[in-house]
Amino acid sequence: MKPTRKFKLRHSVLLRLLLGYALCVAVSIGFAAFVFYANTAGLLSRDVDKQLVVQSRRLAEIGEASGRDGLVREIHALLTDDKDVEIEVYLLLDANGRKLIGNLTAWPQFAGANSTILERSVQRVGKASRSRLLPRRLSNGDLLVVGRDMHDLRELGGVIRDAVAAGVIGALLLAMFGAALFRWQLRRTLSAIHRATMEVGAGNLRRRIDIGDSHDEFALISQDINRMLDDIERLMDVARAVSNSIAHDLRTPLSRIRSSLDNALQRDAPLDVMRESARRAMADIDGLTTLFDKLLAITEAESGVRRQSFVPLALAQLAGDIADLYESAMEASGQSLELVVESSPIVLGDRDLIANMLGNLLDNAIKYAGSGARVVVRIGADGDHARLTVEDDGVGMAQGDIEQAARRFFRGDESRSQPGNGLGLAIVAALVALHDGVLRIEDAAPGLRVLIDLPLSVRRQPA
Amino acid sequence: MEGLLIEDDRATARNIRDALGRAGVRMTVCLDGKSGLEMATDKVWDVIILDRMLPGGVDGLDILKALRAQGDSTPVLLLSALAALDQRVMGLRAGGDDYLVKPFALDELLARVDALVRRTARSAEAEQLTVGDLRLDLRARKAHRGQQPVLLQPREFRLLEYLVRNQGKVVTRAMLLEAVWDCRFDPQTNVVDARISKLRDKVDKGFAVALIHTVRGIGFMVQAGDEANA
Repeated sequence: MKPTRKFKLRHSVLLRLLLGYALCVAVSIGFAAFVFYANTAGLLSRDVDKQLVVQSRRLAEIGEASGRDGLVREIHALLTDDKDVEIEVYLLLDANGRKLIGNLTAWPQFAGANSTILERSVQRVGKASRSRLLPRRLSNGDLLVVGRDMHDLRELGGVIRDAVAAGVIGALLLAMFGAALFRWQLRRTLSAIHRATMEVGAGNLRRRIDIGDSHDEFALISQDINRMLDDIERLMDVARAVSNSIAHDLRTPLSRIRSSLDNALQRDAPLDVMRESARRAMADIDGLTTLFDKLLAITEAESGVRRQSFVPLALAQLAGDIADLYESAMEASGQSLELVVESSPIVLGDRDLIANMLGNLLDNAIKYAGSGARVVVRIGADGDHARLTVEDDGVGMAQGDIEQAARRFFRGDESRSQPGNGLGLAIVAALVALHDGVLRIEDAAPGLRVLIDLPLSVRRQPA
Repeated sequence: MEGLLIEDDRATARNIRDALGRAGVRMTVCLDGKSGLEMATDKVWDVIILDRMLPGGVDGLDILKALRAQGDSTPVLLLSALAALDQRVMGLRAGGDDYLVKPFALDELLARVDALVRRTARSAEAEQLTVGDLRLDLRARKAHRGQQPVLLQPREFRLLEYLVRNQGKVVTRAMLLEAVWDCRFDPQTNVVDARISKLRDKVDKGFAVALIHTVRGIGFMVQAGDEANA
């Protein structure tokens, strides 16, 4: 096992998520609490001030109307009416500051203060109290102080604050719990993926991520990874098969070349033997070059770079050119070639590559369909696809071989004795894939049918 | 004839120089891009053979573009180890007259250089081509041998026309595939030979003098005389 990067908490995406989430929760709850507080406790204390002003004005009017005695009586009545006993504050002082009536036993100086609401500490019937006070100088020089003890409102504020704090803490705890749950689930899924990829990395290409019945986002990603692993496994198999085949296909001509040259270099070798040996060596080297060209062509097609050169092509016309080229060779090998144009589809592609595609199929027919075979190239359209069919009534292929046929270097057992390198259909498959097409190989009973569907360049309107 | 070869691989350069020398083209060899560019513009050459990838900061395409930018239309054949078809297209688009992928047969190179040199020397379009007693009427697309008409399909006429235009010179299979069928791939079967043999049936069968000759290992040649293997 390779060493893996060690997991650190500060790198955890979960920790970052959790912190961000908690911050969001705290800010939003704080904002809600502020709004709530302003609309309850804040509203109440503004209400208090309004009441103080109203009460102060009412008492002053009584004092104007019924004199100091009337006012004292009114205040006495207010203090003994059993209403608001806990909170009311009244005080009437004469011009010298002596108390005429009131429920305060100690008060601050009100010098200069007139008609502005103050918040001061006072002694209300011997009890310390923080109150809002509104002093008012009456026309006879007396000082009337109307006030309200604020401790109940402060208590209310405290209750609200406690409630908000409990809410925030609760929300944070819930957030943490949720995050922990999320993290647990994430870790479980991720570690399943992690274990599978580590095992694949260590060489077990058959390992897949167990998805179970879930259909969540992780299941989708796991599916993608599994599909990627399928591809990797297939590519590795192909690469292995290809290197085996290349090793074999290179070794044979190389050893032939070597023996040819060896032969030419023998002492006393006559000139014509040397020439013949050199010629044979060159033919083998040409064969090797062809092999490399084909491998490169497949690689090039599979890399997809050629798509940039795609242009609209008349498939029937192209097939006409190639059929014309191959007709004589087929006649020479006792076969016949017929071109059937059912419609004239325009496909998007590279002329040389599509020519190569069809050429390879016809080469195969010449090489493997056998003498007397009738080969038909058919151009048609099927839905939104152009269809190119190459069909022969020759010897065909075994069913098992048909499935393998498009693999690189595959050659049916019967054809091993014939010349060739088993790359023809692999090139066709790669070129078809490059053109976003679909390749199918069928048993034509007798013979072989190769169908290639290529997307149309411009979708034709239904008539 | 004088040609310039700009090619950095000494062995390849020597082989090409020797082969073309035997064919009567005296090649001056230049091993890097920078001096290649100087020499290419320094003098009027009959043909320039240019490797695509060169050391010295100036590659084959640069030299080609510089030449064409100066209005120089010397025939240029590009050599390259880059087989990819779009490389080929790029080379031709930059003003190359032909493109050959390494490794190539020296005969293929000779045939192409030959065709290039004559292509530029060729005068205005003729209306009629002849070789021996074979006459091609390019307007009517009809062929006669002596007084006897030779019935050809349009494509066969094109094939014969290309051969006759290059009479006395070897034409390779790849050249025919490109010129007649617009094909740039290497068929795995002897399709060109089969096509030629059919053409031969029409053109040469029943006549004392054969015009279409096979040049073993290289290609084909149309010639009135019998010294085809010369």
